[in-house]
Amino acid sequence: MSCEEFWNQMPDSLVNHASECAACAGRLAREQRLTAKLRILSAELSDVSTPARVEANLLAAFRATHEIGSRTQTRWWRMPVVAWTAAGAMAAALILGVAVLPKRHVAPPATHHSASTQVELASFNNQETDDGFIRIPNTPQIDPNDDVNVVRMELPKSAMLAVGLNVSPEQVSDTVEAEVMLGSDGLARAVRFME
Amino acid sequence: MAGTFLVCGGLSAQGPPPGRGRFGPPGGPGARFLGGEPGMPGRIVKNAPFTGDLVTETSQTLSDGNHIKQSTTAHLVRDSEGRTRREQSLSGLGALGSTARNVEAVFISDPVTGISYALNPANRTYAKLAEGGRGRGGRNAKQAPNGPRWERGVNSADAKVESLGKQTIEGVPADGTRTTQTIPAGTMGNELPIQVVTERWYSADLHMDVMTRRTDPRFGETVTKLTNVSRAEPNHTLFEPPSDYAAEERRSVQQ
Repeated sequence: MSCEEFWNQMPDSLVNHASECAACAGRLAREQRLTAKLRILSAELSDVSTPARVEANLLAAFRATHEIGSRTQTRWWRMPVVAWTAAGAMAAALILGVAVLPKRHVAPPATHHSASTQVELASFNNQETDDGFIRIPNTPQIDPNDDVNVVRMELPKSAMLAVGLNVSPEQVSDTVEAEVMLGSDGLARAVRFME
Repeated sequence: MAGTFLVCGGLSAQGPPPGRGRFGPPGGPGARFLGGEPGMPGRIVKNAPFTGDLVTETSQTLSDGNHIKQSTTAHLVRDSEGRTRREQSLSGLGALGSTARNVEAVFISDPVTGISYALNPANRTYAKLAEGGRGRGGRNAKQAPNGPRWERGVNSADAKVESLGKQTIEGVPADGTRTTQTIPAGTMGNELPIQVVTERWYSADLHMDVMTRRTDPRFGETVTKLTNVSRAEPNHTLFEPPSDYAAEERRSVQQ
């Protein structure tokens, strides 16, 4: 089974395990969200081409490093594998740098968050626990010795806004299943969305 | 919170999507209780039975003068063997949303048998977890999230603890302490130091706080108080699911 086959045809044993284990289900959901977002990013960058100067600079750097060209006149198929590998790596790095960085500077992706929300998001990113719970802002910390309880809730997706997550306007009235962590005083302290 | 309101404002400015009403507050109405996650308590207290109501009230004043007040209650029961039962109202979801009135979850922990239950009175079902097992929330879900990452800028060296003496609260003798934590200026972009004051009234008889008052200029004031305290031994039937409750079937995770 290839890697692609593995991810496209997830074995039943893994799916069954995820249906019984919230930790793994959350981990799988996060992986799937990440994959989906990477695909979106890839699609957004598909129309970005590498400027001609990149190839010129790459060739110049390659020739300077390996002293090929007029002196040796080495045929490309006679070049050492190591040299081709190095050239490939350099090209990949340059292409990735050219493709990604200017795109961010020239045309930042549209977002529903204001600048202040972005600041909050940055701080929230550090407040997600290893098991996926996100602290609800403006709530006190949970003492490590506190007795906490977890309830499963169906929440409006607008609840995701409360912890700094992005929700499209079309989905804001939909619902999402979540686990809510209650402190010993009964107040919600953290939430973990199951989708 | 301010950021949340900004987001909502931005969405409202675009107008509601076709076929939907205007956006409500974060979470808005319509939160629905699906079930509780059973788990083992962090500490077992024996030979200190009691029954009481734990009332938590929070109040917060916003920069525009608006006030947010919330109240949530829990009925607590503990027997001499350390079994506990907690009937928790779900009115403390705050920004996540609001449930219909009188929605509550019941959590039972029995360290004698090593079994925990989470009861859903709405549909008369329960989830069960044996000691060492893992519910959907898993053991990790019962543990408080990583402390240090949750309260940045607060150093124990900046905390001052003072005694408030003894006091009888709801018929229970308690020792009071006041802890003042100071978050130095500049720690989180704050122009001036932030003082977080926590008053605790701890009952050595019950091995728990019977009242706490926490004042934090960032979050407002939270007062938790144990009321209607009875030291009588509770009925043992409270620590097992009622006979007409059905075991909850596991549901597959939504994709």
